[in-house]
Amino acid sequence: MSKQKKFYSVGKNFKIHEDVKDGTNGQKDDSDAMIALAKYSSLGYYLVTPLLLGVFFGVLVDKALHIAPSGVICGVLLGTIATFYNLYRLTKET
Amino acid sequence: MLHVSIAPDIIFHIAGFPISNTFLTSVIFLILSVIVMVYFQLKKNDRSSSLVFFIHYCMNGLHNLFSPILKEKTVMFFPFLSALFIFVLFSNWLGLLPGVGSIIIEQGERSVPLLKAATADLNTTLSLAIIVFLVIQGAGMYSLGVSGYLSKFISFKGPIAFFTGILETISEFSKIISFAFRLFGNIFAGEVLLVVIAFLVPILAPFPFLLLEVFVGFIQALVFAMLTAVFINLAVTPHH
Repeated sequence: MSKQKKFYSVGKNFKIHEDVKDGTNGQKDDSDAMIALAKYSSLGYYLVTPLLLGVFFGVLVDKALHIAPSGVICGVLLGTIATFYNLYRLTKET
Repeated sequence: MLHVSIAPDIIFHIAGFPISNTFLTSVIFLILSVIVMVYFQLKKNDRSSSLVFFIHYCMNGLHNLFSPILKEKTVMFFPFLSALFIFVLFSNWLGLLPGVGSIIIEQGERSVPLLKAATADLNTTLSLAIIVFLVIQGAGMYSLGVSGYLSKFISFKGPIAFFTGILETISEFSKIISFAFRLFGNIFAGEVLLVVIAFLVPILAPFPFLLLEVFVGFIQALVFAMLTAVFINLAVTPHH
């Protein structure tokens, strides 16, 4: 059975919004909520993992090329920028 | 004495292949799911069967969850996503059953649990994360073509595009770590919490935490599958 939900708002310009929810819209709302849950519950991991990856590859480069600590420093810098880039993308998507 | 081990314990070997307690739990889940699948295949036209109705209801719910994200591509990825969701969900929940973690066997001088939740082992979650990563890349290449998809990571259109490509590559690989550690961390922490509470106050006190872990297990499975769907959708969408 389809659910019906009506929103009435009276403002400067009198408007009546009718949001008739059929099955598809209801699904979309549920799915949007789930996407938000998935995105924001993993926000910490989303931001910290590029940094970890940068450090990891920095250490690897340092060991392989014997250029310590330049590799780790570059890795941390790149990881930090990637973290902020992820944050930027997340806000842009939202 | 309280014993918490991060690594899975090797129970026995089959032709030199080590069988750990988490692997054993996965195999038990696999056998149970095959039994349910065969039962479903045999009874799928029987309208009086409540199990068949329940499976239909769950699959319909899952389909409704993924279809607004993947739209017309849902048909292609639904089997993978639903299998992923069900495996992670039941692996999380199997760790809460009585007997899992509490049946102890002697192995030389050590006593180790015979069964352990599969997702409380980093090997399982890391392999799931690698599978998801490969599927995301495969889906992207299938939809946009190899060069079209890789142009997101390697671009010589300008210095900014080149640098963004490097950042995209780091973000892409960080998905593996993010997927693996989120699931492992949550489920392993839950197991440790339950063991510690049961060790401190054995009667009634673990019950609310057990309920919490049922909830956490469901949420983590949902997050794992939803994020996979979202990343697949991002990979198959042309970028500018």
